[in-house]
Amino acid sequence: MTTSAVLIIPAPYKAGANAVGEAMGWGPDNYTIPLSTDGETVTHWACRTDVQPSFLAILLAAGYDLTRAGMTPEQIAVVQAELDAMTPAPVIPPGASTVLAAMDVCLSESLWGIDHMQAVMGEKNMVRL
Amino acid sequence: MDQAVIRRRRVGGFNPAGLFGSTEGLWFNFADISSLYQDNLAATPLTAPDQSIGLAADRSRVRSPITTAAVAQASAGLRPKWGRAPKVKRNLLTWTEDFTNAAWAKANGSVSGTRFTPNTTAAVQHRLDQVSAIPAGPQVFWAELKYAGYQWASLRIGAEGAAFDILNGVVGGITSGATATITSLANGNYLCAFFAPSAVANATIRINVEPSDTIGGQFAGNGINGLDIIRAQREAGSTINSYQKVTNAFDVTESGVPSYGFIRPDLVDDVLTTTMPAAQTGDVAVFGRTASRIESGISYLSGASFSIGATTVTGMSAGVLSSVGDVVGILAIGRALTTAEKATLLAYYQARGAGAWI
Repeated sequence: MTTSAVLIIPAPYKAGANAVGEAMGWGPDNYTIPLSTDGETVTHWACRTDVQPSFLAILLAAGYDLTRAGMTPEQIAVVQAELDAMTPAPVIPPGASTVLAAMDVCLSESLWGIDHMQAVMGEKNMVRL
Repeated sequence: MDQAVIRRRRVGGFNPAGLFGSTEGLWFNFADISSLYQDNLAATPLTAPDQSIGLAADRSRVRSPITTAAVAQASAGLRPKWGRAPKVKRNLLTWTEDFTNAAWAKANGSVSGTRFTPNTTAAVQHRLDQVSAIPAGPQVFWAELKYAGYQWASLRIGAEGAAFDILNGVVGGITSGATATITSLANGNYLCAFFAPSAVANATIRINVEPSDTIGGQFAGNGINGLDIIRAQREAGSTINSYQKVTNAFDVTESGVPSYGFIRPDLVDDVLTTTMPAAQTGDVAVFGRTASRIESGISYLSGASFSIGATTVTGMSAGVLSSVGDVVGILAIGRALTTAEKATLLAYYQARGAGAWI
């Protein structure tokens, strides 16, 4: 089962976020959507994708606070169980903690694709440039 | 021989690769899983719905290696997902055999396995519900239910609905203007169906446990007894058709009926790209499950980038992917197709779930 995810990173962290993504096997240049909070300058970059529970487990292992992604303690417990079952334990790329501290992870089980992206931009008062 | 039979045979034996010959071009057939890979190097074949596509091979001719002229995406976050569905998708619901999924909202109860168990709160709603598309005209909402401690259940579309005695196989109260049936199946299961007239145009369908033969009665559960829900379908029309299992939004199957593949670009950042192996000018066609579109006189330079996504195909009108829906196939050929060729090509893809030209 996959979950729609919009990953948003402040512009100064774009290179670092792409490096972490590549180190995790996601390939290069995943953050391609220029977003703006003022309508003029690119303040953030985003990636709309689908994530597996294993991805959330890696986020958890890297110290990401999943309550920031709107997850309940019960849902986080499920992710923790996924993490506990991972063998070998995931390797957290260098620099991941800095990137994740700056990243917004927006998850949805009901919205997907452009609908999810537009909802997130609306919540965060961002526009696509 | 009947002309329609001749036409069907011609379409059945038709392969779009035959249009190319020595003509330059590209053909990506998302209906055929054998040409699709999860990674951009064609190392891991696509094996199931809900996986993302890293590479789609060019089927316009034999390519070696297979990555030649293939559209691909190196970044995992930018890969479109692949799904499958029968030519005609009727069931408007999703997760139709997994009622634990969040697509089914629960009120005053919980689901474990197939069983919905009302809680001990005194309420008129102990139910699951799901929001779906609203069919035009009359519609049928049916579910296969089984007694697990409660004699009565109801199926509703918005506030309209019917109650069913799933212990004795009897239809109870029905809201005005509607009809309902209950049919005994194997293992004590009942197929309960609510037939709603055109006026019932509500997006939300509900499966309720009821205290009596009248829908909407208040009760408190004991937290133990429940209702087994096996499967559900909402469809347009006034008859119960064959069940289509909607495993999730990317996987729809029907017993005895083939499902055909498609990609669903997210229209945000999903892109598959290749480099044009040679210059060409001609037609480009995209076949989608909602509609298909062909545009003429499109030129590409040798070595130019050719992309599918985020919202269009290189050279085609802006937003074309938004208007065609899930993409079954894309063809770019270095000449103008004849009217007959266009018709045959469309028929080939309509047999695989594509819509008509727009």
